[in-house]
Amino acid sequence: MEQRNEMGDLFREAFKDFERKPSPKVWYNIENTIKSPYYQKFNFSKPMNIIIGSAIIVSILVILYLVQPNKQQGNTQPQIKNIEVEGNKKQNKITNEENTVVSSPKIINKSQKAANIIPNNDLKTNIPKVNITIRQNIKDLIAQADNDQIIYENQKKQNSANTATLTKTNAAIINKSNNDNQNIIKNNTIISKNNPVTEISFSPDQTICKGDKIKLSVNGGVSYLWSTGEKTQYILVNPTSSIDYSVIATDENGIRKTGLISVTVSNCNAPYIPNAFSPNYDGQSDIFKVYANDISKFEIVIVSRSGQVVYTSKNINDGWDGNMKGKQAPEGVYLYTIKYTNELNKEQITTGHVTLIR
Amino acid sequence: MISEAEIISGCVKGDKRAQKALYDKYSAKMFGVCIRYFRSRDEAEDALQEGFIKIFNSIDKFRNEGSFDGWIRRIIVNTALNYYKSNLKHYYSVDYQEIEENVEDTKLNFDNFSVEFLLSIIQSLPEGYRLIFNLYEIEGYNHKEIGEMLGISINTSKSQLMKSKIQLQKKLNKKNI
Repeated sequence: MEQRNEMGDLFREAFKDFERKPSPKVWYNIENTIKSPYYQKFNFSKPMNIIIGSAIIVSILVILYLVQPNKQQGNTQPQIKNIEVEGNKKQNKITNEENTVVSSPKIINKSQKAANIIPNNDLKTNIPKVNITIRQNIKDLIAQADNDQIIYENQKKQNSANTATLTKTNAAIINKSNNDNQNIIKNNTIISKNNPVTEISFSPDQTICKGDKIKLSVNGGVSYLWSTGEKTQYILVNPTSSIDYSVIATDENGIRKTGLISVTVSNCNAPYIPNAFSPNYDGQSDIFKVYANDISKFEIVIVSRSGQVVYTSKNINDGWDGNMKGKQAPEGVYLYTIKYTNELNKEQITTGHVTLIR
Repeated sequence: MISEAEIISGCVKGDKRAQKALYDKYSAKMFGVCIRYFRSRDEAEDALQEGFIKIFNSIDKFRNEGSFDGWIRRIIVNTALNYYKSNLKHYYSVDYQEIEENVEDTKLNFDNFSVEFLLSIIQSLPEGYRLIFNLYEIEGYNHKEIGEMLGISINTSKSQLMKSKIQLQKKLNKKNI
């Protein structure tokens, strides 16, 4: 009992002041998601909003209109064909030959936007069907998983007793569970043919940040040989670029299993530079700025495509609001050059482009 | 330096600088919490992001009853748990009634374990064990609270904690890197 408390203490102490910097992108995502009390969600004085608003209303009306005729069809499984109708004229035909429903024209021209919002006119018939299938699948999966677990538990008990005697019923269960593993039963003792008796499994593929260490492990087995040459059950690695590690694990019966674990290394600490912004004061991506951890001597220069400097700054917390000399800069692509000193005290220069959207 | 009270009142008003100050002050600490609950960094970052959005959107509900730090941590931990909510039933569906295995009687040599290694073995625990071990041993919740948070019985919480410790013990004994 005392020992267990010791273990709790060990972990509690180790993680008391444990810190880890998240990637710069996390703050970008948060900043552009949180609600600002000063931000009005829908400003109907803007022409763009009127268009979007009316498009939504039209689309709702169209959906209602399209869904209605199918309701009358009861349980029949209708086959639906599209008919394209020019202009604003709407057409809706229902023919009852062989339970076929022809309905729901696509609307072209003025209300094209609304028509685009509706993915397809078989909305009504398809969606519930998909749901049912998904539910069924989940059920099956759980049933499957439960089943496996029960069998696994059974196996484990027998293994721990080391060549346990089996009753016929137990043997039947195990055989049934291992259709493709073909266990051999000799003198009431179970010996695995293809698969080690103790299951050997490997760490899943991992994604880490440059500089992070990661532990790779094998579950089960008694001896190991890693591609790094190490012979332990766990290895601690800190690759600087993406790499695959392989390991050969051997179980108590001398049966081998080879595992391959891919480790993807990404530069999490690299500055996050958005590729577009929309200075319309809606609280979301109104300002173009660089998101970074632990950098110094920051400098940014933004130029238009004609080479005119539109913004410069030496403060990473400032950003460009899309104005130049007090006037709104036009929509389009702008080029930036960013200079900074990174956490390893190395000077970095990054260039790229950002799209201004109004 | 902005004081904590200024940060809070600034955030209530939606002041961007206060929000950034709060994030800068707590993000690394809270990411250190999040990362114990997930195997991958990506999942931990998603939970951190969602947790902070909740913090900013509900900061006006913070009453100075407990510590601000504790309030933030609770939101982060609950957000992390939410990621597992839909699967929780499954994790704890097997009723472990007694623990047959015994913890081997070896002394732990504390100096041998780096925090990186300890993190990696927490992350390698099965989800069910990992949640309870984190909640009980590191966050310091009791079994009753954990039972309520995860929707499981006090006894399940207790037996799962035991199981998780046995697994950790095995991993610690096996290899001191």
